[in-house]
Amino acid sequence: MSDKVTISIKRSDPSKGEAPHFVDYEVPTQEGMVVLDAVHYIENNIDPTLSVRWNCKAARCGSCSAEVNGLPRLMCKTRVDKMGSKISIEPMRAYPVVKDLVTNVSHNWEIAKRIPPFTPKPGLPKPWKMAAIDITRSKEFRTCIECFLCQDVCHVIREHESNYLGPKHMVKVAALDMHPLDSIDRAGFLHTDGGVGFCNITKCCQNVCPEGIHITDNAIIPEKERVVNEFYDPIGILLHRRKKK
Amino acid sequence: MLVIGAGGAGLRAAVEALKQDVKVLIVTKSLLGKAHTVMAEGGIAASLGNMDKEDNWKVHFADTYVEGVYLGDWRFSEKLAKDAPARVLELEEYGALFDRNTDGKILQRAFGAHTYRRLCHVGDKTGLELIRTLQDKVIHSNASFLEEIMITKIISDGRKVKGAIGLDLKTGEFYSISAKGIVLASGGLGRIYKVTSNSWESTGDGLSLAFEAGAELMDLEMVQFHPTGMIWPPAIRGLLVTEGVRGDGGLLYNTKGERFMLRYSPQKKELDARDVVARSIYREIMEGRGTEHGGVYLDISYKGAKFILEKLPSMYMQYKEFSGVDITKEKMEVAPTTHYHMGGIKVDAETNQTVVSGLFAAGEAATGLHGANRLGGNSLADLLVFGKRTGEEAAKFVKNAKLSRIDDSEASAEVDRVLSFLQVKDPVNPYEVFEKLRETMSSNVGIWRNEEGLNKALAEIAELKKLGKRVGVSGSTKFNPGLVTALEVQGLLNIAEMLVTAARERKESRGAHYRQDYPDLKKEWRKNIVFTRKEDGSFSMRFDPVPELPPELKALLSKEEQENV
Amino acid sequence: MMENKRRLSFISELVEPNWRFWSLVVILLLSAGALFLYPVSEYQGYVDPFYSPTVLVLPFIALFRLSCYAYRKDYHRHVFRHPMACLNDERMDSSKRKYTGETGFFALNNFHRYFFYIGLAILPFFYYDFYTSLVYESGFFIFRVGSILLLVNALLLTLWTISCHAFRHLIGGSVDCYSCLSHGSGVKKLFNGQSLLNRYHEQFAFVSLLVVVAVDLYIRALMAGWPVDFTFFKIAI
Repeated sequence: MSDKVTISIKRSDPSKGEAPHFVDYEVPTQEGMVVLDAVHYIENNIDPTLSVRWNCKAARCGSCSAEVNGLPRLMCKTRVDKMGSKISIEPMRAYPVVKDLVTNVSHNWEIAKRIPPFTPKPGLPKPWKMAAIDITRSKEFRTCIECFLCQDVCHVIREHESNYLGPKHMVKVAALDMHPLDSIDRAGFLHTDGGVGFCNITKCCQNVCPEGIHITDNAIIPEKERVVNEFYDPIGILLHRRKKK
Repeated sequence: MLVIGAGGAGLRAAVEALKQDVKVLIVTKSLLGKAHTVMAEGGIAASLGNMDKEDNWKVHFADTYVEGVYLGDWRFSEKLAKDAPARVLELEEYGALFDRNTDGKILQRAFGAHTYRRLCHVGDKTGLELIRTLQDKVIHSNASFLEEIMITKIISDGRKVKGAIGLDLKTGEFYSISAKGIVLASGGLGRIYKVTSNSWESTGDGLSLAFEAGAELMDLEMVQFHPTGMIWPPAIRGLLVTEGVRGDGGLLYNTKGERFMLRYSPQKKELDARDVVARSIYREIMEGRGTEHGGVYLDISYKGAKFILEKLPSMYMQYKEFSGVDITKEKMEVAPTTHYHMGGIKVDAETNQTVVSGLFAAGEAATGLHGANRLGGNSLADLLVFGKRTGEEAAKFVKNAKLSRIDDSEASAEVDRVLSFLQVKDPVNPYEVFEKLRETMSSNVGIWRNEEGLNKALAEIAELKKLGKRVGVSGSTKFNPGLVTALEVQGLLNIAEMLVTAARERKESRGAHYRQDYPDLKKEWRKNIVFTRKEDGSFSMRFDPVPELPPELKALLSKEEQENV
Repeated sequence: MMENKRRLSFISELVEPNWRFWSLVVILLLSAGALFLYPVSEYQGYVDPFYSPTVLVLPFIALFRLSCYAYRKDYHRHVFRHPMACLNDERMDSSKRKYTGETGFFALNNFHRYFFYIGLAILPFFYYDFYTSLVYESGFFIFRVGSILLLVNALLLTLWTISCHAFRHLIGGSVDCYSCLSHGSGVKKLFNGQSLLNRYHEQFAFVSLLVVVAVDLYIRALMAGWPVDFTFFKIAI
């Protein structure tokens, strides 16, 4: 391992009209160093005005999302020694830049507000009981750390205008739908307001999830199949109507 | 009502206040849902008795009170033990999905110094689930929230709050927020130490905000060191290894292959209170039985891969990603790391209000519950129980209070203070001061403390305070990490000075506070050290006796334990 | 900046196995040509998989393949280039082209489960073909290399079919509360087992189609007189 690495950071300050440009920094390396350490080194020793968002530095909070060598990654979970001698860091491209590596991700709260919240079945005896086998599917989605990397890499979010929620929020919908005591069926919401039809299951989101959630296979496709059940499959529609009665 | 901090306590307080139709604004220094609470792994302590039928609030109370080494306020621990089960079940009804036992009830795991299996958990991501659940509640409510706002000052006339001034990191603009009531839920100060499990925000901002506004601080010397943090590679030093590892059967070994906890704590072994285990590990390392990186071994591999991947997925990931260690096959290397601050803002046990009217505090920022040592799982229980109580009390207060607006002159004075950091000639780098402070805290005010080290730390802090006056940064107010650090450092230096003063004053060893020169527990030291702000900005110190236990609660302690109170 | 872009496109190539898709298209075009110009339905007891049970079901099989989630991913990316690759919006023009995802014409993919039913119904014929290859000489049981190929073909088609996402929905994916069902734990076990296979659905889709083409080629090679077949044993029954 070489003892120095070049970090090339895309810097900009849109409010001052400063156009995006790459600035190179030389950073000494240390064993086990992650990309966020290198950014901190620059911040503490070279330029304290370099803006970066971070919190836990332990891959738990999902704050330090960026595109490292063009790949959407958590900076705190990306080892410097695995990324070559010159590393480029850019902000997530799906979101407007606030400054340098910091982007404005607040749009996600507007999307989150649209999703029908957890609504338990009425009249359940307390305390609630749930079988262990009933919670495993929903549990997978609850490891989501909201890093928004899947939203960043999703071409529907990144390149097109639509009402599609995006993978992160599909995970949330699946987590709620698959809760054994939830009483709401969100397929209707997904079919209309959720814009699930815009997902063409190209699986980019699943590839970038730092938590290893099978976003496409376990959340989006099962939800799509639920939509099929209620809006496309004639037998499914019949059965569904009967169940409702 | 203004809530400062969007961690578990802040969000829970907001949710409760919203029930009472109070207008709520939540501000947070980071993004919503990123608070340090997400790092809480092990679980929420609540005596549901799902696993061990014998468990009830009385046992939970006694555990909390005794392991806090009789320094806590019984009124807090009683409320915690009584309310926790209802709060957990309520969280479940808000949508949290806890692990289940075979009866379909919430699964509870064993944890250090809890008599029974008591921790309700979601794998090793309990804090994340807690935050997500409350966050969802807030998103679907009519509460307003502002992200990435750093509150730089709470405006008060010394007796009553008026509001707060905040800097919007995203735009670089200032907010002047007038509020009838303020709930401070701003977390701890772990980052004052070099090796810590705490995240970016944990810089004790709330403590200095409250102190400057006229509130009292208490038990500052009580800093918890978690027994198990990662140590290698150096870049991730301090990262937490959950107590759940030991709760689920993890064993500690020194380099001689000896299970040393059998020697230090023959009964509770690895699952003794955190202060005991942390000190034992530290002793092993100091006496030369540690690894080359300065740690001991923690082994869970004998439990098998399936068990580990199901119960401790984050730990598996953490070691795999950062150290290249497969914990299903190899031992982990661990050493103590700064974890929690038992001390903080002194609040009333019934209302969680400070001596400043309208200023409330909850969670890690507040003090009184944990005494000299916190039990694992009691912090999440604390957030829920006292988050709710504080929200309720603050809402009640706000309904009957009158709004007094912040004067323009007060606001502009604070804005000028913040801006002055950008205009310093020949400035000192704030990181340099911060790093030196962390350095001295770690080497002199750590697990083992003594008069000499503490004096040295005080002298160094005095030097740093002088240096701190010359701190300055370049750039603008917009997302400027240097400026944020400069602001944090100002407060931290004051807090550090009080913390070390209290540690020097307390001439005994109690809980997390261990004095090499006074290694014994002293009954006459069963009192809290309280700091108050004087007119000129300096502090005065006083000693408050710990509130006496009422006889019915005293009866819950064993004969031996009763002698200490 | 330039260097950065180059690296980016290189990574995109690695991330997107473009070659896999297009080579498959070429192979399929070639076999379709061969099928049309030189039809082979059966030779020495080996039924060509394209003809099992009859060439008339081929359109349905094609629709089964085309509406499969694995193939949808491939053609959305490589034919319609939405997206061309996960990361390269500045190289491509997909943001400028109209995109309707699966809301317009491709909403038809939502009928995948019906093509799945047809696919499932056809599966037994492949095993039957394997059986006929064993007993094609009356009075004898004969075991040859070609039979193994037919068996492998049948097995891979089975794996691909039963690892289908629509099937996953039907056998338990739609259930939220397993313990509420009378045989809930059995359903959950079935679902979990199928989920393991489902993880390799794309691979099964790819390999099973290659093997169909390979068996077709094998039979054609035999017809052309290539000495590729080998008889392990032949016993009178």
